[in-house]
Amino acid sequence: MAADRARDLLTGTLLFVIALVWIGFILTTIPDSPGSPSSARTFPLASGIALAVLSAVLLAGAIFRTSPLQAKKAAPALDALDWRGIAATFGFLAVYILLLKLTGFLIGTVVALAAFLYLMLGKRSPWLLIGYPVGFAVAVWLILGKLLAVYLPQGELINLF
Amino acid sequence: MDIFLTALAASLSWQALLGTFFGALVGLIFGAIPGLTYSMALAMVLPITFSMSHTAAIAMLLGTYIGGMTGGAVSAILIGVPGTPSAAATVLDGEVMAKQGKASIAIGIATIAGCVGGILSLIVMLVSVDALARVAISFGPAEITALVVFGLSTICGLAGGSLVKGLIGGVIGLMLMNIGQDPIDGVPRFTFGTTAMLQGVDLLVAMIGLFAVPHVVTVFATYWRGKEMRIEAGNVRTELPSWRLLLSQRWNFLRSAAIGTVVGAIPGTGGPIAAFLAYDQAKRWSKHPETFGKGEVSGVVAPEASNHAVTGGAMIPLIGLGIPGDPATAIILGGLLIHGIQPGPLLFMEKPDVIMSIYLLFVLAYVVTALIQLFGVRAFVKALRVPPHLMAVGILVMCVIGSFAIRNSLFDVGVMGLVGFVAYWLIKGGIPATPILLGLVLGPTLEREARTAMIMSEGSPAVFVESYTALLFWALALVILGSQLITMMRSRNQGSKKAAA
Amino acid sequence: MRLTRTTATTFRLFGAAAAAGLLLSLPSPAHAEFPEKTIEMTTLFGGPAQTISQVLADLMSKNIGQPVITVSRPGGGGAIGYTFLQSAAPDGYSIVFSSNSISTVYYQGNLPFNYSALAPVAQIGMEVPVLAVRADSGWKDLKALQDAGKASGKKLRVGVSGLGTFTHLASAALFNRLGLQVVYIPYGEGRAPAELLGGRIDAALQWASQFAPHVKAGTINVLCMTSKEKVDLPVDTVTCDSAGAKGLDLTIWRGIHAPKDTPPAVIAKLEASIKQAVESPDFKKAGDNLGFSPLFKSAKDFGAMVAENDKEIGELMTELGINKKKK
Repeated sequence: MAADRARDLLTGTLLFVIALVWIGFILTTIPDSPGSPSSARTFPLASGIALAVLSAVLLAGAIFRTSPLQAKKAAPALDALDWRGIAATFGFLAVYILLLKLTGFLIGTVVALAAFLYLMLGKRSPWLLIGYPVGFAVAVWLILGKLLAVYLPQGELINLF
Repeated sequence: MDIFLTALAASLSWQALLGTFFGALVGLIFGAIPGLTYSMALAMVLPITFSMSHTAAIAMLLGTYIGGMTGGAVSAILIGVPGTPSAAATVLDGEVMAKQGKASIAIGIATIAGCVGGILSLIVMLVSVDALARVAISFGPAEITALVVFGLSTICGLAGGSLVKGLIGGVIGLMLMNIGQDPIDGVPRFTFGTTAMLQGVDLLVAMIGLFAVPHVVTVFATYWRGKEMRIEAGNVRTELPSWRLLLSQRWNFLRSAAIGTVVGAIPGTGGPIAAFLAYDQAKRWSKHPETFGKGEVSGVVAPEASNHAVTGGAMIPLIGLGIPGDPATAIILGGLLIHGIQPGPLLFMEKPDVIMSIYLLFVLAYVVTALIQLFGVRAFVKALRVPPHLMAVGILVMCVIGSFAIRNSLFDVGVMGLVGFVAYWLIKGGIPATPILLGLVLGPTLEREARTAMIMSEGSPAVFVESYTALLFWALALVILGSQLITMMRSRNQGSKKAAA
Repeated sequence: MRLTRTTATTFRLFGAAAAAGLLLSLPSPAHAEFPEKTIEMTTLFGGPAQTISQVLADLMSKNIGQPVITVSRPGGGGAIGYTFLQSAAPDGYSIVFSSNSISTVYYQGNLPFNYSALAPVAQIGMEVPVLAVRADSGWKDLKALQDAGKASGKKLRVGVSGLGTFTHLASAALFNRLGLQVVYIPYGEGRAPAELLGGRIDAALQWASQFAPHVKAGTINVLCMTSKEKVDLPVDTVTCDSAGAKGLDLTIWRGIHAPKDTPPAVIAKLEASIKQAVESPDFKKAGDNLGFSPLFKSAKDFGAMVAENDKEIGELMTELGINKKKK
């Protein structure tokens, strides 16, 4: 239960701070329209306050908790492999978006997929390294891009087809 | 009778059948890929229908609409990412069923539930199009606000362990949708003065980030830990649900279809709210509510029957009044208008044959969609044999394509990644994902309708309690919230008693 | 509304994968004539406007020799699409299906540039909003509404598409001329008939086609149209100008713009293709069914009209106190 409590303390604190920043941001950047009962501010402000209150309740609950409220198992803390999962996913997304912007869908997808399989997942089989990226990209390009006319990203530097 | 036979002949012509088939197929593909929705599929097939006969055009549009609604369940069940927001509630039990090796049963029953729900909604439409159209009209901004709050109250049932965390999830969903241009007077919010940020957070983009990204991160971590669960070829059975199973769900079918039809008829609400309401009700009426979220068949039937019934419900104001309730039906309306068919009260008198063929094609679309889906189950579940980590990379690519295609904007792809990043930490922090989605889906409607109501009443909040319809939904929301609080108090008392003992 | 790119060519879907393979454009000689590849028409909104853009793209594809496709770039009241186009390569392969929204979104302060940052190609048509009321209100003409509004002393509730949008401006211009106190209720397009029939608003200014079935059914009356000249609409009515709102002339224009430095020869080519499409019987028929009036204007005339219209909208928004560009 200790981990569960620590987790709630951390989540509650973080969300409370976010709520305060959010509210501050609204008060400084979104214009108020005096006289009218609801404006562009009303809803963001209401949700900001709601988040502040709810996260305060969560915090209070974690601080004053004497008996285990839920019989839920605490999530294990993040280990190195979790971090690697996060880095891999968001690293892939960042590189892939950049490639799409520069080289368009076909080249971008093949390069990003092959690189990910080789570098991150440690695949060495040439069949997989070439077959999967090329097969997947061409299939998506043909079925979605050509047949169903879904608009796929176009490259700014080079474009195949 | 003559009219019926002429319409039947027209509906079963090869052009109409082909139109339905292609429409349904395109719809299924768009529906199954997160980010690509039936609205997009409809916009895409619309120009193709320009040169067709009106029967074939209607067949293709309805096939696409209905196929698109059905496709959403496939990805919800197989990879835990809803193909459309309407299928979000299907993830709750569908994904668990797939992990238990029952993916084909889940897809099978989702398909059948959808087909039954859709056809039930058509029957409701047949007998009461006038009455329900009047009900639909009676829903103004104040009533829709109350309905949306009632929809949000289902967070209580979805929150799992902690109500506070569920509510936090809902509020975070609302907050995400506040970014961008204000829906009423166009004031930029949280845009830092940039034009790109005016686009704000698109619902579909956020949904993909919320469901897919945390899933992918976990799959990779599990793979490196060497604990990846491989589903062996033999474990993926392709059996379809038995008659007995289907019969045991008969009340669930009816209840969920009724909810879906009514919600669908109200302009400006739609599939997601219907699906969540039906799921919540199924859980409340169930003899064993504790099995929900753990692979309960009723938890797949309810949202799927309900969101498909929305299609029939949405046709009520469309056909009866010529009023489209959502972007998808607006495109269908465009397709009808182009062919010189003006839906509305007069259509029933002037062109009863067209009305009849719309009804028949609606049924045809359901039958064809269900058949394609049931034949496809075998192929779908094969996808589960792909090792999860390889599948995960593919999912990431599809997420990027899906979130790009919504508005053809790379900005959205970045937002998808960011929302995914935030969602990962929220889920690690114990905030459940489903309430966040409810906030995302219902937030913009809530703000738009509530503020419109306030403008209408010139600032008097009394507008929200002036009609019986609104009062009814406020009361229902209060009942749900109250019963949740009582249950929590009880379990807390029991918990502390146990601790004392 | 989120819609994606749609093809203008029908054979793609049915052509299966084999035909798709043939679509790959081969490298073309350096001095080939425009167009040598697909032309992208950016659209900004969904609904009827998008359907019209798809019809136009379809017809243009048939006469220009290359596919013209619509690519939806919605958001920010049109700001996203205009911004995309303004920074697109000025080669004629990127065009935008534009409207008065370029002026309204500019004066709302959500677009850093105005119409002059784009090159006009051609006008393709206009839409004339009409003022509708419930039939049981008993108001048969604009005068009756004016009298009833003045007699009751209460504010009239009028439905518009959104605050700061074109229907809001047109309504304001109309009711200011009538001297009536009005609350403007914003809601998405398409809901006007429902709100009107439900009795939650007193009048609505929207596209005629939405009201057509209800006018025929006798539940809604249309009082007048906002153009100065009478045009053919799905519902027959008089002009507001002749019915008591002297001098009212506000219509929505729809046309095509290209990036600023697009070569004149390319614009001329596009203009010719649009002319042929707009003046075809197919376009006329689609327009009739959708409640849209086809009207071709050349690049020069179109540009002059847009400039004049922009000035009017700016003045109107200043009058209403929602002009953010006014110093």
